[in-house]
Amino acid sequence: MKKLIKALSFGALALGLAACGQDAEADVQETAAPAESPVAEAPNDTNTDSDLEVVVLYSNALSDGRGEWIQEHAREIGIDLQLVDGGGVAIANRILAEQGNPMADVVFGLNQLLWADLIREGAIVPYVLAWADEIPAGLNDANGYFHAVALVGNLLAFDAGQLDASDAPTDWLELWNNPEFHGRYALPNALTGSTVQMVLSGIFNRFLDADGDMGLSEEGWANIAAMFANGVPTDQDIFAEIVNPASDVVLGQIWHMGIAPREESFDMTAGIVVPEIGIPFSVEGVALINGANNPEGAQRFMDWFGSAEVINAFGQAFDYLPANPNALDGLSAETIAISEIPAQEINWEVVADNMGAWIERIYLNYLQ
Amino acid sequence: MISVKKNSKFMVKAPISLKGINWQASLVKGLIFTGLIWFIVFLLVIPNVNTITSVFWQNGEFTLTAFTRLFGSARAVAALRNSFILAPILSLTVGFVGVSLVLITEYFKIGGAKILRMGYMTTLLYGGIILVSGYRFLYEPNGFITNFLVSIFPNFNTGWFEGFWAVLFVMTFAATGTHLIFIRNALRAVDYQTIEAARNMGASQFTILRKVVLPVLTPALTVVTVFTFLGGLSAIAAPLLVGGNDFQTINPMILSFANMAGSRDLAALLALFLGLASFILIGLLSWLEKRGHYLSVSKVKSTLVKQPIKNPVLNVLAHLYAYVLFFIYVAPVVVIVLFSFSEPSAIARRELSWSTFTLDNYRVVFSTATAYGPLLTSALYAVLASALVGALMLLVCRMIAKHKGKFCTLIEYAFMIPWLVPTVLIALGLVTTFNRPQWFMGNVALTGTMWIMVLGYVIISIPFTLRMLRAAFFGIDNGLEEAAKNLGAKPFYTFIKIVMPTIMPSLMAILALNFNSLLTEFDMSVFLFHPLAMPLGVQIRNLTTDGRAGDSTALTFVYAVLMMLVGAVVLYVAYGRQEKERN
Repeated sequence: MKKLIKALSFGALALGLAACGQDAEADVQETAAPAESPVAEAPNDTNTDSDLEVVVLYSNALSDGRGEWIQEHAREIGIDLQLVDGGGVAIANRILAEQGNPMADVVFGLNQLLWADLIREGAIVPYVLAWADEIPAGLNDANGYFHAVALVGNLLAFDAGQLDASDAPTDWLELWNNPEFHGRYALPNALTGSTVQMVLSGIFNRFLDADGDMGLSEEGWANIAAMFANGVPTDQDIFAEIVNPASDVVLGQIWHMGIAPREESFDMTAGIVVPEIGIPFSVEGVALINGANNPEGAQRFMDWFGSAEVINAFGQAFDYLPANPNALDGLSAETIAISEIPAQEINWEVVADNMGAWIERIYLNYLQ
Repeated sequence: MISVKKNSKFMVKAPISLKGINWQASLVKGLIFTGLIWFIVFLLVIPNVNTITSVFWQNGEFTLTAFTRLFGSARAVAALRNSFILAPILSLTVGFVGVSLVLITEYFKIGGAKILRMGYMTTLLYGGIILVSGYRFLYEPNGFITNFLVSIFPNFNTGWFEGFWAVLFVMTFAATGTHLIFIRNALRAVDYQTIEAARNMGASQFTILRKVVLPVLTPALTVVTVFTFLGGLSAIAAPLLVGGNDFQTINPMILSFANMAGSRDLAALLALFLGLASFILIGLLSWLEKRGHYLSVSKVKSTLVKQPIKNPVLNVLAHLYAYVLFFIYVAPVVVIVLFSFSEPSAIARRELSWSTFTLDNYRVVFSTATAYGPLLTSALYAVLASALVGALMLLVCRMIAKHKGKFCTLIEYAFMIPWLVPTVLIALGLVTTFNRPQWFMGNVALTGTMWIMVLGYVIISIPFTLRMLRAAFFGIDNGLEEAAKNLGAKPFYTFIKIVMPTIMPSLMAILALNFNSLLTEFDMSVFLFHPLAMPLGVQIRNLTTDGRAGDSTALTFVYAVLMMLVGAVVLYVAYGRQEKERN
């Protein structure tokens, strides 16, 4: 028995070391051939692999089959896409940490706040894409650092079975300023997610005050304090909290693509609140990594992926809302409806600069 | 420099040995010392010091605003205080329950001990958010047990399971897993003849327990208590889920801040607080360890015979206690398994019935075809890292056991550094230090290679491995080793034939536990994994959080159940089977 264990562990050790030894010397591009890396999941072992050029894509927008879709279709233009999939913050942090020796060529997804971080730290470089002019003003970065691929609406939703639409609030601020809704809306107890940061951006933006405490007016901080004092913190899915009969919660934040699957899995109908001021839209974009191993391939990928034709097919497959107005054909009625909600105007420069400090202050003082 | 000094000492001490052998041994020893120092300086100290100074050194100047920001926050101060309240109390409750579990299953004659033991060991197979969710399903306001209690006592307070007591309850039962392995291993060393002798001299069962059995358990108990204390300090899931408004702890804040570029100094500062507290505790315990070692460890192996409890009332009470605990341990696992077969809406509404039974969750997980790739990747990394860390710490423990000097103490403490720094910051330190070629790494840039994650996994596994192995080394019979030496056995031969058999059960258990926890590691992996080799922890997180369209609770449970199965098999192969062979 002992001998067996010993033999096994030495065998595994040797195997692992061999695998690592090979990869230690090779860079990402060279390890693309599956035969060289026994650890790797052989991506697609067709015989054309050697003709493909490798592009490494970092993204937080690959779940639910989106990653496989992009990977599969990228092969048609001769690109072997290698994916690094993770949450938005994790992806951005990883790109920043790797700046000395970048592994990524392209980053896709994120939001205005994370884009601002990457630009500030010099982690991405400008590159004007073929389809840049087709995107409505204000969505692409003015200096060409990132270009908008898709829009994600960040909404306040409620359970139409528990709350009549006529009794629903008309704006976020009503949740804490009207005692009716106290204890009836959920807030995530981690503030690092994209949706919650976009929602907070929409609220902070209303109270910007260059002379105020940390750039916000007194009224602003009073609203933030009331928001967290009267909400219900949860670690669960907010819709799960809403349908839980033991919980009074009936309202909460949701990204627009999350509504339909939850209505189905929780057997409920969601209502959405459309504030007069509009809703914060996240701009999911693409950008070229500073120091990319394969900048040409990366540019070719971006020019292709964001083109109206490809992004329209992608949008149809995943109910994704393209940022390009020429790419809206054939989308579902729900997705079109989201595209018609007015976007809240947000001063991203100021909000992105201060977001970290504001969130820290919430963690330290207001979170329940 | 230091290794040379050690060598000369060795020369002075052992002048009788043949010169050739002596020289060779010194060379080997010198190389080992140099290797360890290299590891400590370049892999543990430099990357972490880089991270920590970079957070206190902003825009070219040293800043301590972290202190003012932190202590200006009532919430942070309260959370810090709560962590320091929880840790010592938890150490007591876990110590009590843990030792009682071992006595129930190994020392006293209790009916169904084998089944009981399997139930108690479930906490080795799952933890964190999943475990706490399991408890919450049972005890929350509309939880199954709360509902049952309300049906008996209509005035029962349904909100009972929140705050300090709820956190203590969950964490007490969650943290006893290691006792069942390491205290049990220690109990095996109790000299049964001493017990019989004591009984013949008229000692009561309680006296025998207190005077003969417990002293043998002390070294192992000390070490697992350190871990309990640290677990209390760094509690995340239980306070978040059942702590309510009044009992939040500091680690969820540390984790969030570690992921926010502008707040990393707070994370580092808070972690330093916790780390220093841990070091003081370890120092204290090491001192206690050194003070008293008067163990009556069995020299003539006569197997422990289970003791019937003589007092009939106590016997009934002990059985009752054993089975109530069994229920507490097993019920959350049952709920998690059942819910993994339920529709998401049924989980959210806390309904368990045949009509909501579904295999869909499993279908989704298994049809995500890439599921096997990450599992293989993680398994390979976990095997490699746990083998490496096992070998490395074996070396360190052997060294510490042989040379008890200040230098060795220093090395021992240095290997505890990974405790001081949150995993996220360790990962950041590795990425930023090794993203360019470094002379001390043979001019290779490690970032972006498959190596760096092995290194990261080894580093985060060091403290647990070192402490547990060190406790196992106390069970080694120095007399036997001396005897072997006097009979002319070479050190390596002695090591294999005398030392290894004694520590083998603990070593295998440590390897298995390291493997299981690395298999789904996330915090470090997400920074270090190679694009071609996504590990399981990252895949699970991607499938079960943010960014996914639907609710993923059900999938989380499916993964939890699958990981329990894998964990159980690993533990059985590495530890359980070997135990069987011994019996």
